Amino acid sequence: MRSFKRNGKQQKHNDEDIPVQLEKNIDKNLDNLKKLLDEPNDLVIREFVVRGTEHKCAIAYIEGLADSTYVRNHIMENVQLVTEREHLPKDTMNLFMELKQEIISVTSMKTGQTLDDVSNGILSGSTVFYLDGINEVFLMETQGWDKRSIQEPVTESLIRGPREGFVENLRTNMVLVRRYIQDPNLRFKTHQVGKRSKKSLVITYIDGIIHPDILKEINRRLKTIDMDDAPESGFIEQWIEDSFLSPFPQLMNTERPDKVAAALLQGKAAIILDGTPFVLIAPTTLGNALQSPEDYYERWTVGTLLRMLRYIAAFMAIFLPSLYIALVSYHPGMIPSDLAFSIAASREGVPFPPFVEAFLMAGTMELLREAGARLPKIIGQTIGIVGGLVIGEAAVQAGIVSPIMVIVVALNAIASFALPAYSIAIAFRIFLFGMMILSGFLGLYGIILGYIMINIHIVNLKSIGVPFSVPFAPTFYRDWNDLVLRTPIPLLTNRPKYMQTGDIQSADKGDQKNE
Amino acid sequence: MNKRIIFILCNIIFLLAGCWDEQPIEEHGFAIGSSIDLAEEKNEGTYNVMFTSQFVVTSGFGTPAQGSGGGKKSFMNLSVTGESIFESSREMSTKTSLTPFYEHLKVIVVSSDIAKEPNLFSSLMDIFLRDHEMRRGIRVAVTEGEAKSLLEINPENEKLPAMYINEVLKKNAKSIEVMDPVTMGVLQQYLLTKSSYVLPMLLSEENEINSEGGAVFHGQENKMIGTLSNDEMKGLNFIKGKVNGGIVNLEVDGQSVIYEIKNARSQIKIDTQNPNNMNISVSIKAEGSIGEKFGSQSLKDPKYQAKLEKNVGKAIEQLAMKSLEKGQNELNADIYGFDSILKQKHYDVWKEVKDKWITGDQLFTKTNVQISAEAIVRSIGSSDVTHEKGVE
Repeated sequence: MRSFKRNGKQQKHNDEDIPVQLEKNIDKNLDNLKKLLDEPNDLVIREFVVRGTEHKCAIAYIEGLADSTYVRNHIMENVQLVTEREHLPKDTMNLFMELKQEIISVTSMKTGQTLDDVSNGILSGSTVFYLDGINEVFLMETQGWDKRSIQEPVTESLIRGPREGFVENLRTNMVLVRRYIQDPNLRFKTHQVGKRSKKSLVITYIDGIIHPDILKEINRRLKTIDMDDAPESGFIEQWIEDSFLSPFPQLMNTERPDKVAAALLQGKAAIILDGTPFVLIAPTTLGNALQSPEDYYERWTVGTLLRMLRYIAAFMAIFLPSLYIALVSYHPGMIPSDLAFSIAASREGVPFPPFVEAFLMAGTMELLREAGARLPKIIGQTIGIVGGLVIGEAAVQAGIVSPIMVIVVALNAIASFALPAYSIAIAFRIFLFGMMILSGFLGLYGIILGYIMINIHIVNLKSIGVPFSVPFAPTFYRDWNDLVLRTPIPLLTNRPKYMQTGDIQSADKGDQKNE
Repeated sequence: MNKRIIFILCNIIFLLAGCWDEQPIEEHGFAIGSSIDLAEEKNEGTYNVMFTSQFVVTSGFGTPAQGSGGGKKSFMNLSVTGESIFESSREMSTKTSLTPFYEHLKVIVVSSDIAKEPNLFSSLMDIFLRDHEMRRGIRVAVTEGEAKSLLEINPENEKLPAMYINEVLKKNAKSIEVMDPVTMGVLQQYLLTKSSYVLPMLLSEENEINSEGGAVFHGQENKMIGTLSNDEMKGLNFIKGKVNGGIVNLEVDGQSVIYEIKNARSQIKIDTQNPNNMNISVSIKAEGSIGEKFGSQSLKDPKYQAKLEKNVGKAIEQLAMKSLEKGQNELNADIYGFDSILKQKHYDVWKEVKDKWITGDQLFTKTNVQISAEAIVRSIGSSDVTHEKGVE
């Protein structure tokens, strides 16, 4: 207490080494709490006496964070109605223990000794119970704020698959993961991030499957986080990623618990942050970014075809407009004759060179996408119509762009929408513009240069120490059965070799003979 | 510091090399067909040739939205006379707003006047083999009379005359009297090995083009020495075994029958025991069906069928013999590829007779060639007989 007074308010956060101990006097304790929080009007402090004794006590919580019905039913009533019991100890210490062990019927409670414990507890929704004459308090978990119910994830909808998505509440999200993997080795380790926001962050993994070094590295990086606040898992992602200069997302985010569960079973870890439905999966590879849970839910032929389609889409999303520019402005001899003539005919009267034309159209496409994403759904449709008309009809009629350019840009946009992960699709858009500039300057030669540069970068990139391009390079042929191809489920017996998991087999065909 | 300099240098690469060769597609003048005519003979061995190129006028195409090009002509022919083709094509670019662009060149039509001058044809082909814009798939054809007029016809179903010529050369490969189109790459092979070859002949008739026979080029004399008629072309194709279709007319019991060939292969065996008097045996095997038949004989009759097959074989033999006679006796040109077979399979003998094959002793004309043909009727068609015997 003295140190608190001496150091003043400015020091109270920084001086974590010398925690302010609680007083025995209940009034002083309550005063300190009020002073610390500057008496907000949602702070509820209720002073009363333990019925049948002279002992003053008080509870404090923040209205809205704590469930007041729960507080009344399980704390206040129990303490105030103890008269029916006769043998309440007169001694404060014994009374304190008695209250904890027999009277207060709250499922989860801790004791706190310092003012920091009290303020942290109150601000996270706990209720504090003070008893006069004791320099300790009970911190009872009475969290009860409003939360969103579990809904279908908006950003990753599937035709076939579970309809549950993560929500903002950490506990709910943990429950969702637990429901998928009922393994005693499923671990949840809590970190706290945000110096001021004090958000809970849970890293989850399966002990015995995950490689210990990966876990160690993730934990080490998480411990370095030193921010005021982490409102979204994107902050965590950007803090712990391997290369912040790379356009590629090095951790995957998902709203789907089934995706997280599958990743955990492959020897990966998931990072769940309180307050956001987006859970991070670490480490991530390029192959992961181009697969969707539906590849596994549908039959393997369908899954394989979809995978191939996605790889083609990925190439189209990066290279299509630049190939058009290169062929049309540098290598018209490489286009089949009839197509070359009709492209030339359709470009007749277009005032811009193909490079400018492509840039205009791709830029407009980005504008439309951005405008559509931020608008409410009802107006969003209008944007689609206006955009379609402006790009598809008016621009061609006005002679600003050629109709074939519209086809190219539209195909390119569709290809980038076909990618399952939004974050990787957005990264590809960056490459798209880079490739367009390169091909505008150097033609096909530039495209090849750009392709080589992208490949060099991918091969160099790592995600939590695991190469991003694995299992392409370094090559693990055994893992290619679940890369571009998705082999039938009974053949997918092993966990990815590149993850160096503790337990190698995930399924065993040999077991069938026992049945 | 060092890194910064390297970074700047790397970027200069873009500024220096950037946009090299950049030219939007609509500014190219796509040449799709060329013709070469003889303008005049200046002195002994030097000539002035007229080089004509057909350029696509893309605005004549029109976009699908605007409908067809509104009656505008979709091609433009430019002719320049000069000593060399390269020179002429340079002069051509001054005559048009577009840059001549030869990567889409499909056909070259050469006038027979040019082909008949010794060494001129092969010299003129040089640019089409040397220039980087020229593709090796360009088809070469010869025409009697003015080659330029072929590029000026007005075909009914195609917008571009050169495309029409190209299609005629390509599609007719299904009929036996027309040879497979000769591309620039194959032509170079002929020129380099100094062997004799045949190029397709084209004839223009108002708005149509006919592929009629072939022009025979003599390898040693390096000029065109004669033509083959349609029947002689058939025989040539049978001997070479390059038949993918076509028909043979024949008569069985005084009724004419059309035999439709599906494919025919030939096997050429050369007996080199006496190098100065070689025996060559050509056995042709044809497969096909009955395309049309007059009369009311039932084709199910095995005897009749055997007779039919025999007659087809005879007809093929006759065609081949007729062609061979012309090549051996009249033209003295080994257009059948016997020399290359000798070279591949009997190299020792070939080394000996190389200089005596066409020139000198003229061993080619003295060789004894035996031709035998077998034909199989695979199918008699959808119906056996179309009318009863007695009704005739």
